[in-house]
Amino acid sequence: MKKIYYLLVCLMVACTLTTFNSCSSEEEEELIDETTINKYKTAIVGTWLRDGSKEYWRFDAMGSGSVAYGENWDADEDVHEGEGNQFQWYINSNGLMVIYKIGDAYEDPDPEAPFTIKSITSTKINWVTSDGYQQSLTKVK
Amino acid sequence: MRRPVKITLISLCSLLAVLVIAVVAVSQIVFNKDRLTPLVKQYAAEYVTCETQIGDIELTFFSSFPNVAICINDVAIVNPMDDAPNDTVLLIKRLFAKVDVMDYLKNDQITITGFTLEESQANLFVNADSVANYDIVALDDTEETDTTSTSVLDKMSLHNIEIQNLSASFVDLTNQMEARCRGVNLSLDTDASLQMLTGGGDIDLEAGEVYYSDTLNYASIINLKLKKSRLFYDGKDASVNVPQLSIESQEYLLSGDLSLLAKIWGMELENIDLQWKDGHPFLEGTTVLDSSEVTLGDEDLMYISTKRVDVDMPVTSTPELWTTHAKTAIQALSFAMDSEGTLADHLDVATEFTASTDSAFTDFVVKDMKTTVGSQRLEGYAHVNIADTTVTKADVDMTLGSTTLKDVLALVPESYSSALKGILMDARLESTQVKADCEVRESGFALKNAKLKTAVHSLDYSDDTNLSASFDDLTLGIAYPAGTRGNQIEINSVLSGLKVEQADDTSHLEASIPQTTVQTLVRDDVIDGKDPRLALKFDVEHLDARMDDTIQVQTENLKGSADVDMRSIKNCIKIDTKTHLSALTAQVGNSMNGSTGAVGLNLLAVYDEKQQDVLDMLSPEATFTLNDGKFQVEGVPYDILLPEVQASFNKNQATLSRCQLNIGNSDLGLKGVVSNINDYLKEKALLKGELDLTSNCVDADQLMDLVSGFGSDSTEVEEASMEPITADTTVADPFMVPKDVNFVVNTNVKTVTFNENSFNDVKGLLTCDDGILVLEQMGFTSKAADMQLTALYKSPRRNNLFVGWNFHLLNIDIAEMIRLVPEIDTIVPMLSSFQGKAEFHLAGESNLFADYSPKMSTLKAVAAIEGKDLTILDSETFETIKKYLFKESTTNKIDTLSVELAIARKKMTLYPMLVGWDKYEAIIAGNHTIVDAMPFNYNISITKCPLVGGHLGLDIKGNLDDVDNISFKLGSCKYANLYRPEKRNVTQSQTLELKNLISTSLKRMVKTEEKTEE
Repeated sequence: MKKIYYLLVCLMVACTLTTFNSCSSEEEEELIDETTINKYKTAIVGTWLRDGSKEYWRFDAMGSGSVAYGENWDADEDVHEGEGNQFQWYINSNGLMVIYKIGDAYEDPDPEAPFTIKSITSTKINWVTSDGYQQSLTKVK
Repeated sequence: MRRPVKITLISLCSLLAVLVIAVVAVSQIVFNKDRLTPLVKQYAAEYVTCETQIGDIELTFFSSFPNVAICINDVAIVNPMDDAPNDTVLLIKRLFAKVDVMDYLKNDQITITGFTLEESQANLFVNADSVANYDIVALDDTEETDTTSTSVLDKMSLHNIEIQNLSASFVDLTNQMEARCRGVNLSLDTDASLQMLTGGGDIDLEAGEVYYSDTLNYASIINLKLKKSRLFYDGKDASVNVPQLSIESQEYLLSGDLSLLAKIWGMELENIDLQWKDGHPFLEGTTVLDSSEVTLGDEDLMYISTKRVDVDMPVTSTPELWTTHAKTAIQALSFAMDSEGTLADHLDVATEFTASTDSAFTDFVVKDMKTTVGSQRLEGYAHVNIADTTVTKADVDMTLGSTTLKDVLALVPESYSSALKGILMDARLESTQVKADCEVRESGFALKNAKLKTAVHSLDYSDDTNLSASFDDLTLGIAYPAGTRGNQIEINSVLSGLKVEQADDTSHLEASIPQTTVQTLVRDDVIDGKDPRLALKFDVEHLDARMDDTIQVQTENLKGSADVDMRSIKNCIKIDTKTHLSALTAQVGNSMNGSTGAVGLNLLAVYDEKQQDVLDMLSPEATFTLNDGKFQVEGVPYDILLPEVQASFNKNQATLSRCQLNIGNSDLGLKGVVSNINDYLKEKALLKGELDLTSNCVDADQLMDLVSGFGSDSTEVEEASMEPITADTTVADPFMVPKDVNFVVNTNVKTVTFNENSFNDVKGLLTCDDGILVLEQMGFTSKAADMQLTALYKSPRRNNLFVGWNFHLLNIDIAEMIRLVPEIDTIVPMLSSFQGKAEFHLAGESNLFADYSPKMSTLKAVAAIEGKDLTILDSETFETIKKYLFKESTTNKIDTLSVELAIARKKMTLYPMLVGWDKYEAIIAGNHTIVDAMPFNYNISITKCPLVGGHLGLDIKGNLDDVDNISFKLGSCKYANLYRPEKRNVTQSQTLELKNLISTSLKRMVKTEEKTEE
């Protein structure tokens, strides 16, 4: 790791010496409107299997609050429904946010959240993770 | 003689002769059978109401002179009645009687000098309306009741009675009674007064059958023969002499509350001589029964049978004493009781004794008694006194001769010996002496004193269960009264050389006790049938027990006492035991062996058989002590030492007063209470425990190795075998937290060593609550930091364990922190580049495989690291860079470090981390996968750089396990506006919110714990 950091620091110093200014602009945000948000909140409810894995996601209905709850679990690791990660979720203009429960508190954000939802149909979800990976999920029930 | 007198006498004689001739002549004319028979028939027809037939009647004088004889032939009285078995009431072939006329004329006595009855038959019958077939005499109602019959009997005496072939029956339907006899021949040469019932004579009697029955009883005698017997009774003295009396068979049934049925075959009495003179008896003679059978009770309550009984019991008496010297012999005596089965089976019993009693029959003595039962010999003395009608006093002194157990067992009836089938045993029994003095009152039986003494030698026992036992000597003594109050029965036994062994193809059990003494005191009210109370003391010098050469137990000086009171509490048995041994060694194959010093167990229990659960049934209260215990257990590389254990328990709770347990490097002192034991066993409540654990040192690594697999059971293992898991199921079972228990352990450990780290002053609560193990607010210190830990462990199933933690390292050196928690280096690789003090807060949870490895998909954690003045580069590198970038005064330290991390779904996110260093400021953020090749994706946003005056971004991607191929690309400065609120976008705001959420929630936990500790 020292090597990595040594490289990072050298690169940082080198970059500054080039007087190259690459910060002229930041990436544009892709925000979604309220109508779409409400549509997604309804359509996402159910149990989904992430394609190419045995990772299940269950989004429970929103209820009366602004956040809803759910769970994900990975059958590859002999984890069954009820034994997985309980989370609360909400969708805002920035996308789908998932925060996991540790102990009694929801304090652990999903490392790939917020998920930028591209589409939700009755059988498929397509989203992009915060670090830019596209993922699709298929509804199982 | 002068002539006139002579002439006068001759004349008178002649006159008398003429008179006699005249009377005879008249009698011959008047009373001859031709004239007399019609006369009697006429009177019979007049006075008898039924058909009467009379052959002839003859009255004679000459042939029987001076008696008058009457002879009646062929008499028949016929009176048919419904239901009567026979129409004929009376049938007489011949009746002959002689009466002494002169005695009547002179003394007014009716003397029947001869009476003969031949071939007679009487059939008497009473129907259901009480009408008799013999009520055949027509009485004149006007006649006064005959009162002369009694006076006639008073004057009557009988001599020379002869009855031949008499048959008689009497059937009474009103009373449901029947009696009959047949074939009766009687010859009685007697002189009997019917008035005084006195007299005597010689008797010959034969009866083919005598029978009687009513609704409850019956008696039947077949072929009774009594020959040449003589009877005498003068109103004061009496004698009976029976040279021979035989009865072919007898059968009696006496019914009542209990029925008695007796059957006797072939009874013979010989030379019976019974005299009663001046109020004193003399009896001599022998009685022989071919066989007999007696049944008592409708359902064979008791049954006695014999093959032959000989009784010779002469009795003599003086005015003060009656004495007999009796000899009896019984062949093939069988005795059975319905409740007990056969108690004697074809035993030959012979007894001889001298018995005496006072003339008032109140004091009985049996002495010189010699009885043999089979080959067993019993001798003794007995004395019974009933002079006081309210009490019966008795004392006995009996001695059973020396014998062998085999001979005794030979007497055991077959029904019992079947229970002994397959059992072989023998022993030598010394003579057994029993002395007893007792009283029987209305209030019950009272034993005044008693002694028994016996000894058994060389017992050998074996049975078909492959159990064998032997001992050298057993002496047994019983004495009464005993005890300080004299109300106890003392039983003392000394047993030596006891060996017990059971061996078959699969197991071998062996135990030996060289010497043991047992003293038992039983309260005497057991004699009255009350529940016993006994006190038992035992002393076993050495006990050696082995099973299969794998389990071996030896004890030294095992001593104890037990008090058992069967009636202390209503319907309950109170048991109070105290047991102590000086040393115990035990070995269970190669899996366990150990030894102890002194061990003590005191147990008080009240046994109530009405209860269903064991603890309710016993209500135990016990104390237990153990010293100097040392055990070696297979798989445990350390000795397990129990220097001292003191505990007590009852059905509701167990109290550990002191328990010192040393395992390996750990010493554990336990105190506390475990409660709800009974309700826990009934599955009504959790088992609760509150314990204090104090220790100087706990080696957590050693203990975790020890408890692996604890709590696993076959069911869970079976479930595990069915689980489609990817983890290796051949790994050892994990620690399964017990369910249905709630234990709180207040720990106070000076030093805990774990992963080569030492933690000091470890204090806090360890709870185990219904399948959940919690380390609650455990505070401790190490040389590197102060620490706080709350942790939780669950084991819902073998391959899906659960662990959660809340861990705070305060003021810790980063290098020490990484050494303490190596996983941090995996999760935050760049952290190892910093040096200095920091605070580390970590909360997380994860499911675990059976081998405790985390299931990364379930690993969730948030961490916050804060540091100040951290050294970031080694000195040589820093000095090189410093020349080009930094001011001369710049040190090799960053001002602040604030790191927030989150882990979930196999990924770690490093939230934007601001690093300020001299005139430079950069924000580092990104994520990396924490499994497989650990791909990462980081961005460095340089937000402050005096050299360029603008922003710069660098994207770094690659795999952490392949640092030689990391990709560096200039990219956007993602977080240029992160700390500029006016320019911050939605995503950045959300990022800061999450960062803040992590930091504040973790620190809040520290504050909460500190408050709690305060």
